[in-house]
Amino acid sequence: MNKNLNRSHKRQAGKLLAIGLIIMVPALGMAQDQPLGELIRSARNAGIEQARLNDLQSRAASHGITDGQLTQIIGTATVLAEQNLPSDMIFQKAMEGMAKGIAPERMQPVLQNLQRSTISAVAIVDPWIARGDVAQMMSRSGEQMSGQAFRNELLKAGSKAMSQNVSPQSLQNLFDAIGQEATLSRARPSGIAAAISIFADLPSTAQHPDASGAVVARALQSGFEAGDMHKLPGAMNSAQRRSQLPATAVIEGVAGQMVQGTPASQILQNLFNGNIGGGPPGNVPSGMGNRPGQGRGEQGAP
Amino acid sequence: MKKSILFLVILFFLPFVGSAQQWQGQFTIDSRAGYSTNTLLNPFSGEWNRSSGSGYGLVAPMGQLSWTGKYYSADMSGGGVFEPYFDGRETLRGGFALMNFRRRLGSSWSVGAETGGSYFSRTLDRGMAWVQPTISWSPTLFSQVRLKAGSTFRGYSQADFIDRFDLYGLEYEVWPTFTWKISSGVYGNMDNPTGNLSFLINTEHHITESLRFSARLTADRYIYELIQEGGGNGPGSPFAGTGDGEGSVFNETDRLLRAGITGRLRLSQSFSVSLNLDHLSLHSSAAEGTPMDYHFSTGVQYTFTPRLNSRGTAQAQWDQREKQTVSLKINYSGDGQLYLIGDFNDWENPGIALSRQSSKSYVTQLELPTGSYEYKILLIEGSEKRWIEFSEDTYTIPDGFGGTNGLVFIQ
Repeated sequence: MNKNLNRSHKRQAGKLLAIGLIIMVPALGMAQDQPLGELIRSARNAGIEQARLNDLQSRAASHGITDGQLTQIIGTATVLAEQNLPSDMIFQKAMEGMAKGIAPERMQPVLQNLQRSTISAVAIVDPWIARGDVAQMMSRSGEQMSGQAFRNELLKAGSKAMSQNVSPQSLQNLFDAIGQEATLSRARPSGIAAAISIFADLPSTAQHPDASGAVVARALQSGFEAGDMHKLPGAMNSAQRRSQLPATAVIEGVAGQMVQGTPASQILQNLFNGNIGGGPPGNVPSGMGNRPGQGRGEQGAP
Repeated sequence: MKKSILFLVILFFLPFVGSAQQWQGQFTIDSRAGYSTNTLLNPFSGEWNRSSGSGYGLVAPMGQLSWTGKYYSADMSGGGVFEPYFDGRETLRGGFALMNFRRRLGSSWSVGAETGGSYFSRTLDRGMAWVQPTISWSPTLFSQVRLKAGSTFRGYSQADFIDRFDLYGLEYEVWPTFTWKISSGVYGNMDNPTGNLSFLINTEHHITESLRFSARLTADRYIYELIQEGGGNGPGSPFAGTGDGEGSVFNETDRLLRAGITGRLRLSQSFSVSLNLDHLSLHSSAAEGTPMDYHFSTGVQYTFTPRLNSRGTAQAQWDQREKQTVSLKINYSGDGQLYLIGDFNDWENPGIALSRQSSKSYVTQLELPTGSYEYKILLIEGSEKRWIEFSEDTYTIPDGFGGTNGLVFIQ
């Protein structure tokens, strides 16, 4: 039953992705060919606030960005807004680029990549978020995040994953793993959004995305919050370099005992019981002489 | 032996001075007080003596250095032990040094070696050294099998011989969730692999970030020859050393069962408190009855973790105590004024000025709606402005422009 549902979701996601891409390809060109004034009207009609547009315009002016370049930025955001997708991330990324002194011609490919990956992500996020058990999780969690905010965070996280070369199928599998009852029953929306966000950063994701998905799902089942999730990539990297199990490093990271990516306290913790006096595990005690019926006591040991 | 241990300790620490780029360190002082009816249960003792129950104290400063390379990693630990007994028996004094070395062969295999040495002095001066090559295999990201085999050497200053034990160990570790760890092992002597055996199972549960609890069960079996007449013990006896008597020889078996629990509560970044309870029972074919022993201890541990190699990088610590109110502490060594800039201020230069709390830390507090935010730290020093890179333990993501941003999720 679950397998059939998963297949159905995957087919649906694939169709939506294809339809979305077909719709978007001409729209990308149209938005950028429009004059700035006309595009700003389109942006407002799509739901982008005038104040936000003003902010971007004044920031662009102070950074020497031409109207043509500004048109490209607003056009990229408008395409998302017209589909009820989070367009503000385009504005944020553009402002970040300006703050970092990135040339506009280098900025635009990044914005377009962000737009494309967001459009790809929605085909996976929307069917998943519409599930009844996900809605139950949202209402149960008591978190302040609204349904729309949760969707936006999932789209941001999904977009980030795809822009880091996570395939749509791997992302779909991740959502399926998180959607299991055992995981959803323990997870909170912020933890789920963080889990999607860190997925691409896990060292196992490139070669074994399903193994990474299992790590993420188990972390959610363990009650990890967003902040804990953000420690997973560093801890797993550290564990891999130190030939340890990721959980060993992760739990120290969550407990705040990981320093500069290295769980420094592991061995000291193990020494806590002071067994080193007898040598390595399995080593024989050095004198049991004064037990009943046998040989020498402490004074007469070997 | 003392000089050898000292030399080893110095040798371990020398690379730390010379090449600090890839090293991390930690320093711990373990202090506790307890009571036991058998010194075998005392920390670091390793000697069977149940002549009388006694209280004891313990102070054990320990340090650890970790080095991590692309394929190689190593941990070096050393420490001293001062353990006075309250019944007038001699104080246990000593020290130890350990080194674990690993070479990663792939995503699931690694090889390495565990080596160490210790020197403890009480009634007797006892030195030990061991080396155990290891091979590890992780069939999944949550389980690992380790096989180790090597030699342990043990000598006493009052005796002119050194015992050698060739030991093996097979260990299995599994994490059913990120908060439960189960480890188990079987250990034995290669001379008689199925004769003298130890079984260990340990369960550890991280109840909260600060509270952990573990329960362990150990079963040891020792087979030895007992010489009835002549007063000595046979050479096969692992407990009583060598004997030189003559008389009838009996094969005897001792079985030791140990159970223990440990609770550990972290009070702050530096201080933890702990409670240990242990029980031991001896089932011997050579003696009537089942002697039982008990041990408990409670203590305080102080941990200091220096930030090595951190000059020029910023370590970001976010702390959310209330909904949507979050404080940020940046640990950074260097001159100039730091600013926080990111999604929350639309990346407007220069950003939010961080207040200097000490020579190495800067703080600010923000009120933000729920959501994820990317950010950077900007340093302004005179007319120079530059972005500060984050330390390895700060979560960062690619910014798309070839750099990285910090990322925080506000709940």
